[in-house]
Amino acid sequence: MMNTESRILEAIYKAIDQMNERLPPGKQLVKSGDTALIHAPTGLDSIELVGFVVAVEDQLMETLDASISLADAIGHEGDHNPFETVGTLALFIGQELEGEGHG
Amino acid sequence: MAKDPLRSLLISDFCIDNLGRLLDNDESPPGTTTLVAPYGQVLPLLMNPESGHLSPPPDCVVIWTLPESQVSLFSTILTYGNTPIESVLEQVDIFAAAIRNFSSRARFVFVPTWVTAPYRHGFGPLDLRPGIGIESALMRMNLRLTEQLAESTNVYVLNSQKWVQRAGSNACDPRTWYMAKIPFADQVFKEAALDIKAALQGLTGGARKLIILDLDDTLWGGIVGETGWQNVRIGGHDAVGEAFREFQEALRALSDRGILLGIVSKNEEDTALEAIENHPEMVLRKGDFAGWRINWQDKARNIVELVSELNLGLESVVFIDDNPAERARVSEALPEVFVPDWPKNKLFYARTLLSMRCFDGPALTREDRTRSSMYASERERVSSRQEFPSLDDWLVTLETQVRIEPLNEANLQRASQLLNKTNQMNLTTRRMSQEELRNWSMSNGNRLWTFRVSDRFGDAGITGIVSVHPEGESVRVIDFVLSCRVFGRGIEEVMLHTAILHAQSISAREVNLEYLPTPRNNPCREFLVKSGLTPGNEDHFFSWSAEREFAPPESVKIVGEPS
Repeated sequence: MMNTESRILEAIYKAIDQMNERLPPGKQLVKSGDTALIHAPTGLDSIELVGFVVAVEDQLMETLDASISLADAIGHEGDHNPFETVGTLALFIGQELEGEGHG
Repeated sequence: MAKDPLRSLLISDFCIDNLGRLLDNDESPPGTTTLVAPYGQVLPLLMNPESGHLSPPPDCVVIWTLPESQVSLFSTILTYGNTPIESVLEQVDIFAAAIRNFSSRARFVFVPTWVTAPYRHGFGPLDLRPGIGIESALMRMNLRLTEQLAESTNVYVLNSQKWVQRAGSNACDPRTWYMAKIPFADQVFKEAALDIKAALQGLTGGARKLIILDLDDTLWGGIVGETGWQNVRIGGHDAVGEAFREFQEALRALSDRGILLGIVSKNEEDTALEAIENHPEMVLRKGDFAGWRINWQDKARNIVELVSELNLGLESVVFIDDNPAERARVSEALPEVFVPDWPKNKLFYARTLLSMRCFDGPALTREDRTRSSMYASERERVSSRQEFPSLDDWLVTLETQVRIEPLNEANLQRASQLLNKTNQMNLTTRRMSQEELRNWSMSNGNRLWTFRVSDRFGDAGITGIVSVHPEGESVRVIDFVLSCRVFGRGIEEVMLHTAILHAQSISAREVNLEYLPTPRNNPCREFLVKSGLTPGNEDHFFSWSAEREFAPPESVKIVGEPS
């Protein structure tokens, strides 16, 4: 059985498949933890990023039955923007899911 | 030969970039390069002809807005306020007037109708009640918009309600709205892009014109060669039979709007035609088909022969066959032919046909509605040709009559259609919208005539156009366009005669023609070469001294003259 980390990556990769349908050939996202999501030259622009956020949220719901909002994370500043790479995004989502039951 | 992509401009009061990406990424012809105007600048852009976005002029402009943004009183209705509908419609009129004034700045303008998000419940059972309901007001607004834009021939109002319906319950996603002012989900934009691309393909002469059908288990249920025509499944108290009958009715409806039907089937011809003529539930009869190849040969070869007989190109064809092996064979051998995936379940045949976008055309003319009967007349005409030893003798018996008319509002639509759809007998393959054609014909001494052809077998309608432009002491023929259906019956000579007569009437010294070759218009060059015109130094220039008469053939009676 897949662990949570793998299933998060699976959800992100499905979102990447959705995004690649609308991205031009030069901007297609590679399904890898190292893939940069927001920095030029291959990163997503602001409108593409919104589409990607929605696609990831939908895939997390489908794959993990997890309702999570990533809208706030887009605005993170400094060196720790969760959308730096696919890997950092997966890590951020994992932390958010772990924190779900707390409080 | 790849054509230059069409320049598209998207004007919107919401973030519409996703539509631009989908249009440009779609590989189906025609290609587009899309520019998105600054967000929320709809009226300033429509009313400012000097805008940099309009230089060079775009081919296609999409003006897609939210109802509450362009009709501010609709906001009141959305919040259950009480606003007289007349005041709302006045605001619609202002918006429509801005679009009308703007429309001459592009070849084609698309205006999607206004929609509200499907999750908006509104007044529930009162939502369609006039004077109260939100949807009632929106329907009135959309109707008014379409009425106000109906006279602008290059403006097309597109039904965005269908895009939202097809996208389902998540058509409008509040997340994309709050994060980026994108009111619609990707699926809505995908549907919009498909409709816009299909419309552009039709408007630029790329609509499909001929459906070639298999017979057994495609046009009817069962194999006629095994069961006999009495036992094929069509109509009656039978779900499958009823589905085939509805499929045939859908085909006949397409035929009524100008799409030709043909048959390519592996069968015995006599057996198959007997079924078509004799089965009481059959909707389509022999006269509904422009032609057929019913034999045991390769279907790809039969399609090529049939298309050639009908003087069409393979890029005009849709091939429908229940057999995936035959579809694969035709797809591979004839990539220009559109071979849709066909459902295994026969109950889905009519639905699949009715959802196809490839027949979208810019106009529906009298010639479209009678095209099938024109082909039936042509079969009789060709058959009668066998009775005469010489072509000239036969032409005389046709009693051909050509009516020449200057371009006017009544024939503008058909003239534009001919200009944009004709590939073979076409001197320059110039493509223009109705608006552009009208404006061109009224400027700089330009003239354009239409040629309506009839004979004892029937009326072919307006099948030719000639246009000329004065050039110093000469007259240049700009358009020389003739439908392939009337090639070789003396009409070409009447058209040349008309241009030369006009040159003589304005004391011009000569008539010049420059043939611009395309992969399809060699028949035009062949006619010019054998017409007696003087060839120029380069093989695509031709001229005629206006001091000499160019007599039309005696077999053709001319009614009306260029004025």
